[in-house]
Amino acid sequence: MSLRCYFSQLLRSRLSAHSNTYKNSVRHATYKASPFAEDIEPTVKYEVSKNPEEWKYVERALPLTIVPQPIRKESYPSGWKPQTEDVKKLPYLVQRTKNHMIPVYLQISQRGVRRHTFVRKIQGDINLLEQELKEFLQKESFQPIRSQVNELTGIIRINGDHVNAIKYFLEKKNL
Amino acid sequence: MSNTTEKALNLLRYLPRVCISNIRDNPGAHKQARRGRGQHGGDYHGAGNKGAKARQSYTRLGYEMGNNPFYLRFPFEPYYKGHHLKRQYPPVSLLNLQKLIDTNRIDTTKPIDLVAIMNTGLFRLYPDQQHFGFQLTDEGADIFSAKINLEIQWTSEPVIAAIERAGGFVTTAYYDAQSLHAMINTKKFFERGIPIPRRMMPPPDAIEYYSNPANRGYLSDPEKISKERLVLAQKYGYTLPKLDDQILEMLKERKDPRQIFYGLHPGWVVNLTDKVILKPLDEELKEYYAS
Amino acid sequence: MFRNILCSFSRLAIATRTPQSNVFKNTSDNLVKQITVRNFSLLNIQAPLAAPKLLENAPKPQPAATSTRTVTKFSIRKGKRKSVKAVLKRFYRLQWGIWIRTKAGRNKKLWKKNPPQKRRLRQHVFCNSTQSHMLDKMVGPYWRKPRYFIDDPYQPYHVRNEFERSRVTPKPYIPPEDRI
Repeated sequence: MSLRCYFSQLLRSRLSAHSNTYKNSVRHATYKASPFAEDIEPTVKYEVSKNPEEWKYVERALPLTIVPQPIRKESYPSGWKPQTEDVKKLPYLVQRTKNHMIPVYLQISQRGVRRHTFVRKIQGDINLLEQELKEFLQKESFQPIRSQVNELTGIIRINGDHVNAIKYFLEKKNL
Repeated sequence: MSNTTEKALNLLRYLPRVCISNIRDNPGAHKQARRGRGQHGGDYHGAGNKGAKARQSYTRLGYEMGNNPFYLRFPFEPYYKGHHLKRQYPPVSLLNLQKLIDTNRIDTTKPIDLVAIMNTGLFRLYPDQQHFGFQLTDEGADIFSAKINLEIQWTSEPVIAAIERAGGFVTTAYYDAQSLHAMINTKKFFERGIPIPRRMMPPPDAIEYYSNPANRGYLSDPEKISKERLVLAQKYGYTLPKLDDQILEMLKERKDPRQIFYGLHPGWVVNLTDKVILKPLDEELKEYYAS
Repeated sequence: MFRNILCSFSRLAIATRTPQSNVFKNTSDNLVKQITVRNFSLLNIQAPLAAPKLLENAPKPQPAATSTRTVTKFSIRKGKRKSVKAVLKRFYRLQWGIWIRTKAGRNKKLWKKNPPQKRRLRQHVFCNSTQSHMLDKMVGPYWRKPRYFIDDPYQPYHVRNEFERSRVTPKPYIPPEDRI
């Protein structure tokens, strides 16, 4: 009799392994029985210090919120040049980016075949600038320089990789 | 004249030259081409008649109809062995650094460390991709001229020579992943409200590099470093320039091996809203953070 | 039901113990005897339930390890693209888009190959554009990220600015006055 019971239990436990997990579940805490969470005061002892010299180090570690304005120097070893005042005399203006760089970019598409140079942020007589750029670039290139002007957005798109050539041209004019 | 036409004409007066290339039709002027989707869109939904393309029963990528495919023909080669264990140091060139200094993005009157470079916002570091800081490359070593107190994670000899010839100081220091996370976004770290952690010691394969005075390691002897400066000056053929007292103090500022930020000790909690620093008073904690 | 189950267990045991004897030859008396023996054997924890001695030292049947060559575009658990491991064992990606590989047969039958042939076989070779494109698709975006190791033997090869097709940065310009 006992043997049968023992064997039957074994069988049942092997056949129904999943159902056992719910039979012996015990709820150790209930929502109604547990108290609300309270703010616990830190047990660690600490002192609050307001030292302006130490706070300087904290401010040094924090980043600036705005890009700082460049300072006028005699020479810039890296080759970067700032925009000068005599730019106002020109019929067009190529405004610097917020990082004070010249807005000429290379766009590569079609897995490296198509290369376009974009000159952005152009104000004023954009067609005159396009003519001058074409003249300048045609001297170096055997192929005709193909370009497109978008007066509304102030962009000139030139076929080919002429980024550094255009940057040199604009830097000569202190743009 | 209606309100909309008035508005349109006012806009025209303000805008530059309008031509075909910068205007477009009113919404609804052109009917969108039907692509063949839905009940009435098309019988074959743009997929043509029968075939593997219509039935989406393509062979798997790389399969060559049963013969030994290209990507299985060649012997093994351990190209990527240990790629997930090696440390990576994204490059920052001396030219980049000089440009930052020229455009006033970095303050040369204070020591430059990883925090200063990250605060420019121009460089990215991903510690979860095994990045352990920046390495300084020698592009622009010829033109570099700025007296800086630089702390970088990895450099080579010509770079150290270029900086010291200009009148600056270099130190190579190791930062573990937790410290890097704190340094990359200091504002976010301070807002978390956890105490500044101790910087961990470098792993066994890096200790040699950081204790070597030739690499200007932060764990090496300062006297040996000054000797190495002379050696390098003789090797590259320049004389070490004399330094003003004003700058010398700034150039001498160094961090403790367990320190992450200049002037802030491990164990401190920075409160940005109240502009206050919380320091521990328990002896145990003080001992731990000072060790 | 209980007895039927036992009978089926015992039949299996009989079959494995004495493979030569036919199960159907056993009479019901024998079966009963074996059943009673079995019951007691259950109580005695010393002997295991079914210990066929013939199969003790035999290799355990394992599920056949089949390699998966397909590219999983959307994984079951994370919905991500998976890399084909076979590609990563044999090829290496340079940052400008090309994949390099070793030559087949570089360790085979070297006794019959002359030295220049062996040298050519030891070299690592480019894959062509179509092959590189296919390998890029077989591998996830993790493998296309740049790596900045120290003392990496492949470090000089990740940039190829000598040819316009593989240039990533704008080509340099030397003004006419600075040209030689």
